[in-house]
Amino acid sequence: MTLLELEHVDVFYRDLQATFDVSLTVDEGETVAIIGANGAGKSTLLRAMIGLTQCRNGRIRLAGEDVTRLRCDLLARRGVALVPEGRRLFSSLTVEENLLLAMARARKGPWTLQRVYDLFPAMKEFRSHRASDLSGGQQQMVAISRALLTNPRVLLCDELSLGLAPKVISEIYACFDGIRKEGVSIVLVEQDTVRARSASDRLYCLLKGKVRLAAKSSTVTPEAIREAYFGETRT
Amino acid sequence: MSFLPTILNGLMVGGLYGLFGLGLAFAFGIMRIVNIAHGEFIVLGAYIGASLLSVTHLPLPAVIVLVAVITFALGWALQTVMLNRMIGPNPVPAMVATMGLSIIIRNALVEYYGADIRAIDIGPLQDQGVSIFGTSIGVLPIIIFLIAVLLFVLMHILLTRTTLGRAFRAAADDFEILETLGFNRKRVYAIAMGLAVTLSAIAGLLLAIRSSYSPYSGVERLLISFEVVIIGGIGSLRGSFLAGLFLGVVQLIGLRINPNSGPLFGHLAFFLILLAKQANLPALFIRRRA
Amino acid sequence: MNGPVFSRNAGLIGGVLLVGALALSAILLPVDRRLPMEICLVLAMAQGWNLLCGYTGLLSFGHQAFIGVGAYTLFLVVNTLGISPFLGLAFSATVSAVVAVVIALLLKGSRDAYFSIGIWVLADCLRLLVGQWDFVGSSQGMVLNAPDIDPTTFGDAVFWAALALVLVTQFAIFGLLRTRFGLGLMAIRDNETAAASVGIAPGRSRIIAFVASAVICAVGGAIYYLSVLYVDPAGAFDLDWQIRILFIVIVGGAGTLEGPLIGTAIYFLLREFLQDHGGLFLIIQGAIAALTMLFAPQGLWGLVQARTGFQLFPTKWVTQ
Repeated sequence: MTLLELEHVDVFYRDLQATFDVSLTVDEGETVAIIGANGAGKSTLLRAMIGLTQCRNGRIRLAGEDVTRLRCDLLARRGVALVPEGRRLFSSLTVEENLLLAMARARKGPWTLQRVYDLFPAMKEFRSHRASDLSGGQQQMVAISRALLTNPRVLLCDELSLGLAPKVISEIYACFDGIRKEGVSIVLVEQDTVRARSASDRLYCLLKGKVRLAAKSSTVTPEAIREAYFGETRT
Repeated sequence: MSFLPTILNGLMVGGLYGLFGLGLAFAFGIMRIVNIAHGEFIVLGAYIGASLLSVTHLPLPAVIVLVAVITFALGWALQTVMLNRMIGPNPVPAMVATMGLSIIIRNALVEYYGADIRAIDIGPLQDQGVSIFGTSIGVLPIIIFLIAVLLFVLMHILLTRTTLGRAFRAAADDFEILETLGFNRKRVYAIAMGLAVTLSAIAGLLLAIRSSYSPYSGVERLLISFEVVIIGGIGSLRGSFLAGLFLGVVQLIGLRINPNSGPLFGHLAFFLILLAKQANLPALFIRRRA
Repeated sequence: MNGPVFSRNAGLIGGVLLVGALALSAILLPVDRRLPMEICLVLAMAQGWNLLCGYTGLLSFGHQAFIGVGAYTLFLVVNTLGISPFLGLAFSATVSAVVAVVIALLLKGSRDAYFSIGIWVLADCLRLLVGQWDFVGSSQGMVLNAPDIDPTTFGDAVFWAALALVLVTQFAIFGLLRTRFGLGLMAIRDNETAAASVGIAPGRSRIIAFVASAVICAVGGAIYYLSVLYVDPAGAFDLDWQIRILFIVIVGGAGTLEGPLIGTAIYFLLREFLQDHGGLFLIIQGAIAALTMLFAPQGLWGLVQARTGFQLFPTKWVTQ
């Protein structure tokens, strides 16, 4: 069943149009990757999905309900969560305070403080540290946990691998199986196409704000991705 | 002639100055809004309290609670009706709008209550004193100081132990992410402004009990609040409190040296600290967080 | 030619209109020229303050300091040196420029609200200090001691001085904004980082605008208190001066040369209309300022301009 559905969406970043007529769907329990080069409109599209940026044209539906004009906090309470690019933890709060804040307005669901500490056991050790004192990988764990604690139906992840060491990225992606088991849908925005492809069921490739490719991750060829990514046919 | 009583009195007034600054810093830290009508809300607290005392004959603690409720509603309304529409990178519209509001409140008070300088009389407590370190100190200033300290402690608990307090601190860091966690930004802001105004109005009422006030006191109170914020830093309860004590002592010593100087010595101390900060000298109470 | 040019005609029309209106009011109104004089002075001060706020984004709440400094300097030099009051205006300009430079250095690191209230505290300091200074009569104020003033022509002379100030201000700022420096100022207002990257020094431009606004307010204040021959700290350093100027610029439209003209008209119409209700006038003034910020943050002229694109004093490049 379709959980999140975008129809002909145009989103603007200030006065610049970032996406053109984008349509995509995310099914329940599915992991969908959105790939594309820098400036392809991926992050802006994600902002529109959680209502931080209003789309100018088109519709967004969540579980059949039209949520196009819904405010961000209301969308969040209906089950959309964001792991933002660059983590964006509340830097003057401790790790645990970051997590507690996420629980305050959470929906009912499987994720509790105990469950996220089980997911990232290391987090327990620095739970009372100020968020600004953490390493990038530690911050990413907190950011994912924070989003999970709202018990989302769809988890939007923006550039999880940005600025992290390959080993840390692998650790982060390794935990995704545990998250998927709870039936949550995941939208992965990535520049790293290899990583995105192996972690997802389906993928969309954006080029200059337009969907250039929509395919099953298991069957799509690297050549097709490359062509959609760079917008040219290699001879 | 000993300066000890002056210093003690300065500390007692300073607790209230700390509250003035805390209210202003609260709104500025969370919403980046400089409320120019801050001083008028401080004075308004005194007028509302005085009216309630004379009309209802309720005991002072009950009046303080009532003033808190009323001024919270005013702060909430101010944010909801006006300031939430002016959030953005440009601070000028909110400053000009609250400047307009300050003119309205100030002159409405003049029209309704008259421009004369008043004092609140709360009966026999006003004249009682106790002896500390060999000097006599009024019981009333001590009680008022303790209320100020209590309010600081309550604010500390609010900010560190409750969801609302964490949301305030989080909103100061990154309001967008707070929204993605399901918090209504404008409502958080409205509560924050309500609290900021309440704190200042209660402090204004307490100051009016131990000294005097008029509709024109607002400007001086605003400037004191601002000086506390600059000296003590934004986002630090301890900084606001210590800066308030410092300004209280400086001002009362100044008035002792020259009874006509008004807030002059406080202003001058403020500029010395501002200059010290610009020269990157370690300022008095600033503790920067990493 | 397709290059950007100024629409010069509109500027000419604007100038002729302004000179015509002022000359007409000077010739027709007469007998009592106090009100026209005040209008001229307040308009000049508003234009000066607008140069600072509208074009560099520095919102000052303390320009009453310069009004006070200008007035007191004039009274001091006239009373001690015995020179002509109109020569004294030069002293007012000079001293206020020096004071402005000192204040600029003091507030060098302060931006936004820090600048706005920092200068307000400074103005309050000056008010308190002058109020303590016995030589200038402390809080009682002082009377101008100029025996050679001819009471029959003095009123007219002061009026012409005020008219000269407003005309010089209006056209000097108009001219200034069309020079390289003015374009730089507007570039800083619109985007400081971009302006700095093409070699405009934001700091220096700001100080120049600040000193210019200070001098205009100081001379305006000096002429005003010269006309009443008496000055006291509570009046000359009164926040109400600043509120008046702020109201005029903000309601009319900051960052435009037309805005203060409209604001001045609204201010004086309102004041004359509510002459007998001083408190109500102030309350309405505050309400209009707040409402303007809510519904037309660019001011009234900003609204007109957004609708029509018309400029009486064109300072923007237009493509022909």
